[in-house]
Amino acid sequence: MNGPALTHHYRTRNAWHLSAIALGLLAALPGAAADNQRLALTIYNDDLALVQDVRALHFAAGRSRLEFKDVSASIRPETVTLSAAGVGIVEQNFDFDLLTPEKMMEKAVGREVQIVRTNPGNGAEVTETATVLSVNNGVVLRIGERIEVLRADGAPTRVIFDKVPENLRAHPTLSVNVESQSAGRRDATLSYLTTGLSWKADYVALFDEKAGKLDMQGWVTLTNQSGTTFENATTQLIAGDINITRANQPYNWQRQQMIEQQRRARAQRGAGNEPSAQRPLADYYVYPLSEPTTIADKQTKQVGFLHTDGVAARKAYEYAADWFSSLAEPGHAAVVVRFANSTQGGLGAQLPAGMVRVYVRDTAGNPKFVGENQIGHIPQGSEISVKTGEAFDITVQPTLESHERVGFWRSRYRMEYLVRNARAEAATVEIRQGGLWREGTVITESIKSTRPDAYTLQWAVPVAGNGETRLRFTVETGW
Amino acid sequence: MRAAWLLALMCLSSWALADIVSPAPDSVRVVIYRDDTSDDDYSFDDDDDDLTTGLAMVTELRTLDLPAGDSKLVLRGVADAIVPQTAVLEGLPGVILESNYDHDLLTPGAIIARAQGERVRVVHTNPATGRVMQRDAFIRSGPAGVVLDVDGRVEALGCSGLAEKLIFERMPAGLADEPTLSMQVRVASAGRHSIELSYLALGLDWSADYVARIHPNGRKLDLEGWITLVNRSSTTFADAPTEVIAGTLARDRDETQPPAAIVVGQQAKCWPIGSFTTTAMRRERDRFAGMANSPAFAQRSTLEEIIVTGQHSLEAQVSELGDYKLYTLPIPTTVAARQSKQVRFLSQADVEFERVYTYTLDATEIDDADESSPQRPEITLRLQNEKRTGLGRPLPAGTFSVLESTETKIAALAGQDTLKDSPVGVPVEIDLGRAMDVWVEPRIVREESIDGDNVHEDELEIEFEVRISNDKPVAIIVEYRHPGDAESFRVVRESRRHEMKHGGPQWTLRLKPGARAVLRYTIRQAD
Repeated sequence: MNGPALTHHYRTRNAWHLSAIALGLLAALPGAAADNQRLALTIYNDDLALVQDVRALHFAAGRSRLEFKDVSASIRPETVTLSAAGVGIVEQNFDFDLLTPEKMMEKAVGREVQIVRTNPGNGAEVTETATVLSVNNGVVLRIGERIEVLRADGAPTRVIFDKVPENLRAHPTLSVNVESQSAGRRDATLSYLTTGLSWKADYVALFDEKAGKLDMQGWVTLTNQSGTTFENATTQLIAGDINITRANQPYNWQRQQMIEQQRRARAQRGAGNEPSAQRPLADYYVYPLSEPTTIADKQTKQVGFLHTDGVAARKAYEYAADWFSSLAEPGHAAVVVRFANSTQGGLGAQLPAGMVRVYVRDTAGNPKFVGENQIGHIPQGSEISVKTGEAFDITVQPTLESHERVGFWRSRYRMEYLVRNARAEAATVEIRQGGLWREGTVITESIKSTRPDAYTLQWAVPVAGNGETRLRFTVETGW
Repeated sequence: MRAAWLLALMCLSSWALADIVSPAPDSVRVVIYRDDTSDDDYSFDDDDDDLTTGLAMVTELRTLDLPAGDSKLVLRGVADAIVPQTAVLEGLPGVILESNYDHDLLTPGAIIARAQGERVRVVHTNPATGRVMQRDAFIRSGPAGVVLDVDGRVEALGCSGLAEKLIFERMPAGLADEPTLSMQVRVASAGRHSIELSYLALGLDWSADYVARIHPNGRKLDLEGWITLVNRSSTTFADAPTEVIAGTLARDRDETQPPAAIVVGQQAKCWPIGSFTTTAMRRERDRFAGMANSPAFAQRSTLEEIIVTGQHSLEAQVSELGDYKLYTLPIPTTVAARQSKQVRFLSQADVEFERVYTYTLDATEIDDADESSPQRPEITLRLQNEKRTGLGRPLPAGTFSVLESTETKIAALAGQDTLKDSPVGVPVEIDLGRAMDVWVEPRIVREESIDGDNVHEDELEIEFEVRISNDKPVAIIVEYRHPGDAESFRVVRESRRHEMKHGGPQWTLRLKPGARAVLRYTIRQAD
């Protein structure tokens, strides 16, 4: 936040040539305002934050212009509102024409500048007044009656400008023209949306398979890529899918994909039904941070929000096939960790969307990372299933033994799943077979199936340690 | 009294703000994971220097002297490709209020960006007299072209053709030479604490490499397995107990990444200088400036060292971690930056194997009459991965090379193949290449359409005749496979019994030296 510091320097330098309006606005933005500035941030998951900036400002009676240099560099200017008692807004501008040497020279066309030429032979400096005629692939100057190209002779030449042109700024700057009923110092609230800030949850889940327990820590991870540091801000985080229009931004295909993917994250098994202690006001959850915090630019910040030990959890092996087909080589069963965020299960908190990283202890007792997966926003009381990876020792090889037509729109499939277990202990593999359609019926099966939905069959296939089990079934289905 | 109270307050506040810097870990352990094993290509690409692949879990032991109350703990010397949101601190007798990872790096551009409104000195050197002129200035704008206030008027930096530089009075706060991990911690009592910091980092990877030497009698082989560690990062893990994990982890490559390094570059943007030579020079300079800023240039590096160790006693030991295999390297090792290192994890002598000749019909060429020219089947080594055959060991995915001795007693490479993660009990097949003196000649002898009725749709019936010949002086086994993935596919007649293997029917034929055989079969499938 360079704004107040910058103002301070300008005020201490009397020689500074500023236009009248600039002086007026600097008076309206005292550096001291930062002392009692109160910053509040509401950060959403999806690269968006609402900034509320309350500060005491001195308003002149009538019309005046206020400048805010320390707003977020990624501000969405169309969302700015400024409110203060007895103050109306005439217009607001967001200037993002950056002050560079090139821009300054372009704006000096038709104006006088001073040039200081250093004689490369004797080092003597000659100062002349010149008018800038053109800045196109070279600077053309009129010096008295001569027309010259700046530094065409290679002699070092400094150019001195009288002032910085209006609207060229070191930072993108928000300016607001206001109409105030009376002069005086009042609290003003500036609020706007900005991109570049986002948050997600990162969970550390230490899974103890033998005990059937999970120790769960949740961290909020804030990232600030906005270009601005937010000092000492009261911060709250919003979990939920809110619609955001991004009219001024090109359609971001990747982002849409990501949002969609998150929405569909299949980790949640069944809707939650427990009321949460977080008591959502609307259709989202609010997580306030307990203390004001400084979120520096280019910083990733983590704050803990959940720590529960001993959540009931268990491991399961899964293998899913969407269709009746063979595999030339066996595939590995997926390993999933299942737990519930119900009060009974021990967790009892809704979980904002984020990444679950699962760790298990090795024989020496050191936790080791075993896999990670995204979860969506999960309401309290839900069953959660996190796939950590594939079992090295448990493989499944499906073979379509035969496929024949038994009616014009009806087929019979004979399948075999060879499930092998190279582990010493017995295991149960949940095999899911998709692909059933109208009037899908089981003709024969070596293990009794369950039917999670009309189009899916599921078997719990027990396999002895260092053994194998063949699941055989014949089904008929319309198509 | 009041002054003393004020002093105490000042001490307290400065105390609370004091950074406790832990410059480097006392010791470090690493666990290295395989990058994507679902990929068919397990070999490392020499040009693949990027830090976005590979995964390791790094655990560091650090000793800290912490004061009671709040302090900021700065953990320096972490791996450069750390994924900061995975950092976990254990052993702290207190709470972590927040954890921060700052990657606002100290660059010339960042100093200028931070110094806006600050007083600096601008120094000019007269090229003829050598006289140095120093003037006070304030930075108005930058770093994309620096504009200065000098004596109440405005000038640009680096546009005059004079030798110019800026001198700063102080370092701006918040910039560091490397990305910095820090934690705000609160502990009840002061003291020396041993803590364990663990985190995920990218840039480390490993692969398995197998070398099988076939005995001169051709009946058994000796199998060696090597773990190849690669460290593409610029962090050296010295004397680190090292483990590698075999198996496929669920991973999120988009999220579990180090934050993108944003380097604030200084661009000397000036007004156009109207002379051909200087414009050309400027272009050239911009080109180089652009290159230096591009990640590809910054990360350009090659593996500088390759180390192989292989004493018999020093073999990596396998154990279980959940449903993965954990290989513990025998001694702590130094995984240096941009180094690759090999350690043996498997050495099995006298492993039984079977040499079979496999031929899989190319289903897309069934209708092609040219298919009837003699084909050479694939030479396949099949290992029953069981104790009774001399193996019975988990085989992590990797590259499998087979060496054979020739009549000249010189080892020759018989072939190379890739292997997927293979547990005990699942046969391993290694394809070595095309056979010599073994021929498979498939021909379509009849093809006819079978019209559908109320029940059946239109189908195609194809009869095959396959001539198989063995011109070798030894008996061989040939496995002839027909892909079974066509709609309504089934075998309706056959001269020998098939079995369903590898996703389709397979006919196995044993041929004596010089023998010939004919296989006839008829299939039906949807037209």
